[in-house]
Amino acid sequence: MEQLVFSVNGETVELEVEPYETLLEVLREHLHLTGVKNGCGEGECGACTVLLDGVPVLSCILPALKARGRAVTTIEGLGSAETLHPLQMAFIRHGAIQCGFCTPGMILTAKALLDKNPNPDEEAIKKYLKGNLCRCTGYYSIIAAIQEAAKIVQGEAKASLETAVGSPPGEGQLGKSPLDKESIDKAIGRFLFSGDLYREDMLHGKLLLSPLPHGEILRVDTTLAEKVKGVQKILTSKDVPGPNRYGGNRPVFADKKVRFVGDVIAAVFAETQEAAEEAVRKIRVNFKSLPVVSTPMEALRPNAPKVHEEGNICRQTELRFGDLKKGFEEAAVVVEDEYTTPLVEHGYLETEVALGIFEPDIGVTVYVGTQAPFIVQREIASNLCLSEKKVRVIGMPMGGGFGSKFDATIEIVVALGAFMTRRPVKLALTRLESLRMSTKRHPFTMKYKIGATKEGKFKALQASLISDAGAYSGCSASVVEKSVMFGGSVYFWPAYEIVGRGVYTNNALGGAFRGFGINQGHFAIESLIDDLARKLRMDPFEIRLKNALEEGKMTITGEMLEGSVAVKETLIAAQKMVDGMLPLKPQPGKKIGMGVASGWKNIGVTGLTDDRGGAIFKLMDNGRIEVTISAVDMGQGVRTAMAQIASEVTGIAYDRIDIVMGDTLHMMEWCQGTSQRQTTVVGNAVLKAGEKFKKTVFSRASEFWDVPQDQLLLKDNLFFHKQDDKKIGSLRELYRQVTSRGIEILEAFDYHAPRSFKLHESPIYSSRDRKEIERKSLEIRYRNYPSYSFGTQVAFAEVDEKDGTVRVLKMILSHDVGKALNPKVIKGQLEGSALMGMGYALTEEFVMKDGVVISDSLGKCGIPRIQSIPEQIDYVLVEKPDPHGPFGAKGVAETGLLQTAPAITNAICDAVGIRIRSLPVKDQLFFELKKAKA
Amino acid sequence: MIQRYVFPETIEACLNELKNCSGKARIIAGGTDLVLAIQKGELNPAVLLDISRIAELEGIMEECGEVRLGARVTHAACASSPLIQKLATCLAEACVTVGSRQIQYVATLAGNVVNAQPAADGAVALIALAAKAKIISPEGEREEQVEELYSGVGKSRVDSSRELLTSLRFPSPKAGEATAFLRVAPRGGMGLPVLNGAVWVSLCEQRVADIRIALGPVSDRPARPRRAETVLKGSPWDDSKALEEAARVASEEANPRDSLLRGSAEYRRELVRMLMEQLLKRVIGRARESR
Repeated sequence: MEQLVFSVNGETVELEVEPYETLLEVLREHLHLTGVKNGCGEGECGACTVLLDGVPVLSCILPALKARGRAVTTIEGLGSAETLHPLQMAFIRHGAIQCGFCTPGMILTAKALLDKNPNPDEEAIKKYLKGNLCRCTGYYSIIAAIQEAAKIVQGEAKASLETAVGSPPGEGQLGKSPLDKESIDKAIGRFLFSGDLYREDMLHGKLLLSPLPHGEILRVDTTLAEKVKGVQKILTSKDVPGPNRYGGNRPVFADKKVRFVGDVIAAVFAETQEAAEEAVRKIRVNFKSLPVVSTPMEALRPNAPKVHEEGNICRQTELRFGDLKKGFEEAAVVVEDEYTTPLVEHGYLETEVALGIFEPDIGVTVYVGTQAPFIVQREIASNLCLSEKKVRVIGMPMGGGFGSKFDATIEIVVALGAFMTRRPVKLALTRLESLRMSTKRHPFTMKYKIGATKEGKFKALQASLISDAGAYSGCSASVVEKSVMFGGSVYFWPAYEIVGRGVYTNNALGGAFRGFGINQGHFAIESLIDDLARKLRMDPFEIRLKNALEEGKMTITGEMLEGSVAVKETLIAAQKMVDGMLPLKPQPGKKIGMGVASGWKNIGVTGLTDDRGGAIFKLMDNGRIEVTISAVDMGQGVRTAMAQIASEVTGIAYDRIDIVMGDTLHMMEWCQGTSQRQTTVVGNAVLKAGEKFKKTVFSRASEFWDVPQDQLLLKDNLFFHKQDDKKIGSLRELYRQVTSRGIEILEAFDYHAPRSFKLHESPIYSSRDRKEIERKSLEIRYRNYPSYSFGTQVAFAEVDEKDGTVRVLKMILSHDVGKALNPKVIKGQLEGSALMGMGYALTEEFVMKDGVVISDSLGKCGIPRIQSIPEQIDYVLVEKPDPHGPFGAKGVAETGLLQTAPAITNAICDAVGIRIRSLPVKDQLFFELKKAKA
Repeated sequence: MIQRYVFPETIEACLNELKNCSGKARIIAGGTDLVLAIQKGELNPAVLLDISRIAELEGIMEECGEVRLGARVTHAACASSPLIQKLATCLAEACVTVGSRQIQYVATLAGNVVNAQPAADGAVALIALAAKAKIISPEGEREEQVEELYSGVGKSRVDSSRELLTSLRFPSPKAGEATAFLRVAPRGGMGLPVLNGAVWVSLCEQRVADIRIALGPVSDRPARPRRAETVLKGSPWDDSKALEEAARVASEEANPRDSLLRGSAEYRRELVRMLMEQLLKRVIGRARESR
């Protein structure tokens, strides 16, 4: 141990530290300054940035003793809720904070910049912040915030928390962007993620992951490991009382075989992290190595090694209708091609962390950032052989999820650890472990063929899609199904055949990721439509408008569309904005092109026969309203949007409403943060429960103050007499009064989404006659989802003819949101999605070779940084109210990146005439341009 | 496992510690690479000797026609030093491209050399500048060309468990001399460099009198495409044919590997040609202005 005396946020701190400890560990583990975030532990993401004598440093790779005698500033020392720093204010105001995990590092780095350069231009900001990753915002709001903070510091602008994103005038909360519910806590480092939770007597966990992509486990020997001082428990497959399976066929602990490098062989729980790590190193495992299946094509060969006993096909889904042969014969132009898309890492900055608590006489509680608390609860219960009510899952806010935190990873191990040791246990994945264990976007190989008349009317579509599911099923079957259902994009097809297959390999797991299997097919078909338009010399907007789906038309699954179908509206709105982006002048040696793509995404879950969620309103002792919603906080603003709805329906001030969520003990079922469903399902529950709550409040108030209900007016938290505007009393007084009579003011609503059907229930499988299918579909109201959201994007890309470098200059995002509940939140989601889509198009790939991870750090996944953002992204929101949405609103969580990749590659084709068939673009253009020259 | 963390106050104290620990101690400067190497178990020192507080190792100065950098000098200090910007432009340019701003504030040039990565921007610039490193051990003192300090990827001939690189020095430019640095990196400069290069050139009577080119990562260490240098030596400064030829030859000399992350060898070889053309044009332009 060494002595460390240093100043932390202005106070002298004296403590003993190990010579190998990093400043991050000392700040977080010893001093509990949890505003310092651990994103990668390798100096690549900037989340751990603190100031050392005013200079930004990466605390994760800085030996703590380097701070000896020096002054450290963490986010906690920059400003409090009452004394916010101008940067903190500006970040809040501009929506530069979404999940909040990168925020402390981002703000501190910006602080150092402003200290050096009080008036930085955009370039200076980009250069200074190039080491800080943000996966949510797209960086635009961050740049705007820093520039405004600079002005505030210099006295040129007023400090304020009022939103900087434009809202329509008028009363009420809807369509406005009020102060986000949690942004102040995020800006000052007080917001807690699961990794920030501590218990005095907790044990620390460490996993042993499979070193092999494919092998038979012959023996696991933990004898030596058990002797390590401080080790309390070592778990392997034989310790799992239940089926040892979750997420389909994934084992909690690998038993007979390992099938990928993310399989867990054992878990150690010890008094210290070091002891747990040492013990893991001492576990001996004997394997018989098996041949690695590294691509779906290999897996499909007749004599391929079997990843699973049952064979290598995870799911096959087929959809066909009409006379395909005739369709192609009648087409004046037919285009076909093969397309591939890569494996992609989600790149959330918060790795998987869970805290498990043993609850004597009850069971076990797990705190974890999950998108699906009830599913995790079931999976823990089944593997621990406990009844579900003995398992409580508290869904913590996520530092980014984007789909991956739908699937469980460590929750069952943590629950089992707590249950067996009777102690609290905490397990946090390192970045590399997270990269190995977590799901990714499925790579697809696709053959597409489409035909159209010379007027541009689509006649026929034929497609075959093969996706790499990785080692276990997880969501892969659903992803295959969805890729087929949305495989025709947003158009009407008279004849089609789409076959999708998901195939097991020894690669990383495919899973849910913004778009859920739709993005891949959209890349292929939106590219082909572009080719078709070129052959027909048609405008890219025109050909899309000509074939766009609309209300009353049949989708390829046999659903007769009703409700708000806004393909055409988004196309027209985007087209109108094109002129505003022009002219664009290419630099010498470069060419600029424009590309268009449209797309759609479901809202809600298919075939979940009863998709539901609830809201519980409760009047609290301080006169505030607590609303418990069946939702999880993925960081994009659900808390804020739901409080807006609650305020709108009750008339109670937004500031007086507290939103609570995530806890399986208190939430009504069901809850999962997926498929853009929370706005619809939870929003409706809040709307209906709020209406009931308001009625009850008024009736109680009327009784208590003896004023007729229709004479009562509720403003903010006060009741007034309608006639003379005289104050009657407050919600707090009402609470006291009813409580003294033993009454609670509480109202709940359990919302059930319109019934959706499974794909195989479609009339399309039982008839070949369009008229009959349409009739049947209408009769049973066949639908796959409660609703859909639509969008069109336009990209302007510049290609360097010499080296093939692509730069996206500008983008137009035209999206259908039903009704914009909160423009700031929507803007943030769309910008963040578009940048994610740009990464998908140009740079992102999680590289594996023979089942081994090559992209073994966050910096090697190709995630866009602040320096690669397009110079301009404009957006337009199409408001075509959704009959099933609260106030007509729809979610926009996933819709924003379905079109981005094909819009960009279409722009590339427009610029240099080269068709990109394989994502990401990387260095392909270099070779293609060379070939074209030769 | 690290047992002790020491801040020696003088070079002498540091050397004494090195001697007493007989190979079990290791020098730490910024530590941005070392900390990770230790965490991954690639290195396992018992004692860390932090040199970042040794006053003798501080400083960027020019004396007797030479620029001298102490081992404590960070990338940020170099990048923002008017002296370096003026006298070693390529070094200032390299230092500002390295990693993130946070890394630049902590990581040192000396560490960049000792860490021996073939892609290290700072070291590539130093090699173009013909920098020499002074290395002191309890047994004595030696000076070597930075270029000669490599023995493989991540393998330095400076043994940081037994000796200390105390300073770097290179000649100040004279009239007609200039340097330049360029880097090709995906996604805005924070990813792995696909390629980087630095050039020093000396012009005399409208000809290229002398030239030094350093390239990374195209080999197991920063490379010197000497044939390309020969092509240009003696040629008129405005001979675009010679310049193109030199760039082509440099790309032939370069030996990049196929990399799933950095790109194919063929692509990177072509990039060498383009990068060299751009670099040579820039450096010759600067040298002409400096006469």
